[in-house]
Amino acid sequence: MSSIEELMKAAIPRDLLDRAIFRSIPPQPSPPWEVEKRIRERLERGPRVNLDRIFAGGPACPHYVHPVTLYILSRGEFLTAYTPYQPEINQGALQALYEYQSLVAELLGVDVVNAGMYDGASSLAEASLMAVRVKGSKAVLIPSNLYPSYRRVLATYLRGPEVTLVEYSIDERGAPDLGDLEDKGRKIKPSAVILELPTSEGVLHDRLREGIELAHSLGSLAISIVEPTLMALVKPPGELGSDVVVAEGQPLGLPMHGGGNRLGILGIKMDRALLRQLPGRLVGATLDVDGRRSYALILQTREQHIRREKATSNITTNTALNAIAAAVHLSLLGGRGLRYIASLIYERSRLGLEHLRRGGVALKYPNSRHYKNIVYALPPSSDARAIYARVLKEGFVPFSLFSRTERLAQSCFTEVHSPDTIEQFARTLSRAIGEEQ
Amino acid sequence: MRYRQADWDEPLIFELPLRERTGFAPLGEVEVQLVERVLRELGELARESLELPSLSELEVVRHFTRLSQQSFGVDTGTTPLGSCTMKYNPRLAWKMLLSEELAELHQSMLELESSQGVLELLYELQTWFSELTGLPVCSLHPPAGASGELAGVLMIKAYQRDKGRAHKDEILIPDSAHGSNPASAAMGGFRVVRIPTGRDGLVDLEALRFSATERTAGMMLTNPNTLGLFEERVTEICDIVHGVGGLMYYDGANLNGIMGWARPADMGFDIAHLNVHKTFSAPHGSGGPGAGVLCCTEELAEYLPGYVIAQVGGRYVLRRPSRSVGDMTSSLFNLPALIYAYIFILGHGLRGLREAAANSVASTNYFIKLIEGVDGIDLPMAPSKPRMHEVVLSAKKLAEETGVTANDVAKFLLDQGLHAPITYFPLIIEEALMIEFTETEPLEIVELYAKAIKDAIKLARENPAHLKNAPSSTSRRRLDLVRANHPLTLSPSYRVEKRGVR
Repeated sequence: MSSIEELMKAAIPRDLLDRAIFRSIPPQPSPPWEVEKRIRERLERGPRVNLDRIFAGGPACPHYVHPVTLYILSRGEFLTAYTPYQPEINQGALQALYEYQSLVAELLGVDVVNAGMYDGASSLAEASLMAVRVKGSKAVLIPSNLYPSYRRVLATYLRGPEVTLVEYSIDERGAPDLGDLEDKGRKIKPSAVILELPTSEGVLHDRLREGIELAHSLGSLAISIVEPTLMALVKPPGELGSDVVVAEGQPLGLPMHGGGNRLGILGIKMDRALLRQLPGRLVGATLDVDGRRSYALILQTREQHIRREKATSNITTNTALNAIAAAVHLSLLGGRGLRYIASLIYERSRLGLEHLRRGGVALKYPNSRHYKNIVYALPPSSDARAIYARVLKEGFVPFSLFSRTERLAQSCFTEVHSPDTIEQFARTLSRAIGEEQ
Repeated sequence: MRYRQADWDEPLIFELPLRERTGFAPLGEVEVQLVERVLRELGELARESLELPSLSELEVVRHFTRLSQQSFGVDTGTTPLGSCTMKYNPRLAWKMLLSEELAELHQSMLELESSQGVLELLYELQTWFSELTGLPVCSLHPPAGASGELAGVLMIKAYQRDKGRAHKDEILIPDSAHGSNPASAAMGGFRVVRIPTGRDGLVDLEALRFSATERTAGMMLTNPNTLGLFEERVTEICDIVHGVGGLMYYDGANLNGIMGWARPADMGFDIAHLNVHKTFSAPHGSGGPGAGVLCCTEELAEYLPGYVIAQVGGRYVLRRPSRSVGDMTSSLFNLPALIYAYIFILGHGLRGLREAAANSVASTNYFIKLIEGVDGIDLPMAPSKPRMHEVVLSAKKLAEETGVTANDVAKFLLDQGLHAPITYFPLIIEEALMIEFTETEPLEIVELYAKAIKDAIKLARENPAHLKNAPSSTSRRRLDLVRANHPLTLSPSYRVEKRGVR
């Protein structure tokens, strides 16, 4: 150690070396069993709720993660590899990412999907920046009921170029108010119109096609935010002419991990201007010198390591491993399997809505068709945290807060929830709301 | 070393034989009827078909196992990419992440502060990161280093505005900086002013004094820099930038070489990001996800992104800074990567962290000793000075004399079962080979790597064609990158390939 100490002393100026007094980092190493014990103690302190009793909604919800996905992700060749800048030795990761891009392009009905952004919200933000670069107008039109967290991320990213966000309203059935969209659009001439299916509040409406057409008539790009599993059942926005499609990829085989790391899906139709402005990494097919099919990172001159301040984005580390997870998940399910899972989610959402209504929960859109997420109001005088805690004590994770100020809560219903559990949950929740009132 | 990578003619998943099945859920008549009923109900909205492959569980496992065999990570062999800090990723973290308590933890449990144990763990981490940077407040929110950079740049912007200095619209960045720095500054709405590197490999102070003006909002700097040199005059650099009212941003990508020995705050930095997937052992996952941590001075604390965990009356709570630049992701924290960091720090203790930093520096300098004097490869910029976590070599002489480039050397290394270094970065070094072993590589591997580079140089003089044709032990030989990028042959998805829409 002493010669190494000398080395550090030679390299670091004296007045900067060892200035700190460390008080909280344990001075000595701990053996793995003690580290594990320490983590377990912390994990076990929290209430432990089974997956099928978690109903809290939002962009990330409880879904079944197949052990095959976890197994593939545990392969060190994928898990511990760097970005495949050396394609000859990383064909496997490149092919898996190309498969991810291709599978998701098929699902969304678009031509190109990049190799992953951080999450759905950052995908939306980067898509909006891309639209501003392509169209030039410093305004973006968004639905008034966009997830508050998405809106916050969007606002952060738009601080740099100082782009204004303008809202269009949602009608009493939870669908986009196209009249208002048009009025606002004519006034501000936005670079992009953001549309959703389902909406952040979970409403499955039939106005996406018209919304996209309206966006185009305004001279704007249409950016659609979708829930990826639903795309197995409905005509995807790419097929309806949406220029850009973004989604949260967590429903495609990612554990929740407390919010965790996610997968931002970002797809575009084949358009030179959009492709040049696409943020993030992209894998393409080519041939090697023997004429064998191969894969490599393409159009890298868009990226920060080459283009620096002129890059389309600063994104470097992305979510490649989660994109591979999504490829495994989609491959396992296949088209038929995914349509079945999506149908289950559709059915369970209907059941959820019915039981919540029966329990007297103040549904925001009691008569609208929902997919996965359902929003309801908690009584104005109640304490949301107290209700949450009360239901948690009964063994359910009940909701996310959609809006703190309006006391809107959000629950979701997926393939992991059995009809009986849904009924029991709705009963428990309405009782807790009643008792807190 | 003999090496042969697996070489499967594994078809694209779309080209595998379709079997009307799913590897996930059994589909009988009842299930099929449900799908048909839902599609009927959707009416106009319904999608006619979904053409995704349908395979059995075994076929999926086999396909992706074969693909993994055609990939290469730290678990496979040394991956000494400079500035990437490709160290071993402790398996204990993987084990913990599979536990239901973490895998099935919904975000609301943290948002509504029910999972006190997890919040406690994160609070401890915050404290440790704070101690390692010397900056009192940290946010674990940014999902990656570059995301932390953007947040940091926006913090600078907001701070300067609040001080009535909105005219400050420039960020100073050395020409040796990581590309994400200028990209983040530009995304934050700033003009980037490039500061040249002097002949000693350090920031040119004269140029900095000239560029630091009334318009300077801040400066982004990594220390040790990308050449592996400690910026000895960093205190002076900070003084110059502070002198014109600018803030100093620390890019933590290169912290590994000084962890536990020197701290950004003591150098004069106001904001710092850490790359959890580099210094703190979270895996790179073939490109991500990683995690960033952003730390800052008390004065800037209210501008931090996302949430800061605070302890109030024995409970851990999430606090949103009052002047926050906003959220970078709709998630709260990248919990998996942070679990790695927690395990890494506890497993090392302060003593181990310091040893890790010192060993990474020792590896670099041992490697330099081993290749010293080799004809064709130079150590540009201050060759007699010790390097820290990484070293940048130049194969310029070799290229001039033999036509064998840094890229050719890189491809030759792949053939030995050694991952190539970062090549052609930093941009200020011609024919650059940027190498960082980290503390987890045994010294025998460092020796092996040095020998392989020497072999490459010898071969370059004897038989350059051999290097020009490398690699041949990998699952594919050199790729046609012109074809990959040409508008007429560009294939970014199976859909585009199949339909030829370009």
